[in-house]
Amino acid sequence: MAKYYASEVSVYCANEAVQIFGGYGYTKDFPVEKFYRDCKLCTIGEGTSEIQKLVISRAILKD
Amino acid sequence: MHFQENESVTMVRQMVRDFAEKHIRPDMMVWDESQTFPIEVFKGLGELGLMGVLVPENYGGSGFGYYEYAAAIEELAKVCGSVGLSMAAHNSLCTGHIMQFGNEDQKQRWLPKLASAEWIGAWGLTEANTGSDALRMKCVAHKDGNEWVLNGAKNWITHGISGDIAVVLARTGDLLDSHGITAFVVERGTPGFSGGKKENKLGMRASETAEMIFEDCRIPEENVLGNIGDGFIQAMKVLDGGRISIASLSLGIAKGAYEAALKYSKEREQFGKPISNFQAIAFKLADMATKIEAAELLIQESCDLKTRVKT
Repeated sequence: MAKYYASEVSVYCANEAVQIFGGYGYTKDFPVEKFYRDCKLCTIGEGTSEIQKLVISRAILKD
Repeated sequence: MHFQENESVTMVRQMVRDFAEKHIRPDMMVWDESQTFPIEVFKGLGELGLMGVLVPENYGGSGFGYYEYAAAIEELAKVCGSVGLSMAAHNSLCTGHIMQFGNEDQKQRWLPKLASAEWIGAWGLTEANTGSDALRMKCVAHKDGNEWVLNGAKNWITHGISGDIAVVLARTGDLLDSHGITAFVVERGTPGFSGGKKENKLGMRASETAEMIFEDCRIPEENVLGNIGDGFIQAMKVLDGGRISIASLSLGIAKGAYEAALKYSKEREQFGKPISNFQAIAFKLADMATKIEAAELLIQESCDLKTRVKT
């Protein structure tokens, strides 16, 4: 749950941060464009969010 | 987070912050643009004991627990996700696999080199057509005398080219049999083992992601980790721990983005006032802060479980 949730939160926060920075957030002069690019790995690597949901659902459906 | 943090966690956090400001932040955009894997940074992290965070001290590691480990990755990721990712893969996957499933000789042979970052570790499960569907892997190993002969390729491997040592999962039984896969340690320089294509990625560009190729690569019997056929089960357990590290990596990135946005929103003025004075921005900050807090609580709980319940 921690991996699934935290990785989705990183994508959410990086996206919102770029929006708050506006046009400057879209440039390499500020760090948020890098966070925006880097974060997406987290919902894919070492178990995609979909695999995490499979693991979580199996655990909660187990007797 | 308002819990009282353990002193050693605070110490690790501060140490990593200082290191990142001095040795990572000044050059990280250059590495990012040029896709440079900054090997010297990892040697530096090794000197601080951060390349063997969970490795017991008698094998040259720091002997820390998951709280310190999670804090170290989070602090690295607040500055540069790539360095956090590579550090996490080295610790959790390659080093973690040998630490959890290696015998005494294997641990003595490889853990000190990994913990000091004299050697950088890689871990190979994924292949071009088998990511989530790992049981369908094509990489095979067959026994020949007292050696195993490895053939196939692994893709998306962190440190696939620069890694000095790799833990590789290969088929030793039937297709789709979860007891048909075995873990092998392959050292760089072993004939038949080479690095392949390096991926050109959207992000995490300073963390090397590449192919590992095995062509009649002969591996001595003593490089098998655990029992024949246990590799897949081992890998799933290794990934269980690895997920705490990716959650911490995610948390660091989320906090880095949030902290930058918070600071900027107080400085940037539009319509005659700081943009943080507009609810459109303030509500975004509130949502980010709440989600970050919740993610941190889940990670703390995972660290607690991992510390108390040995699986």
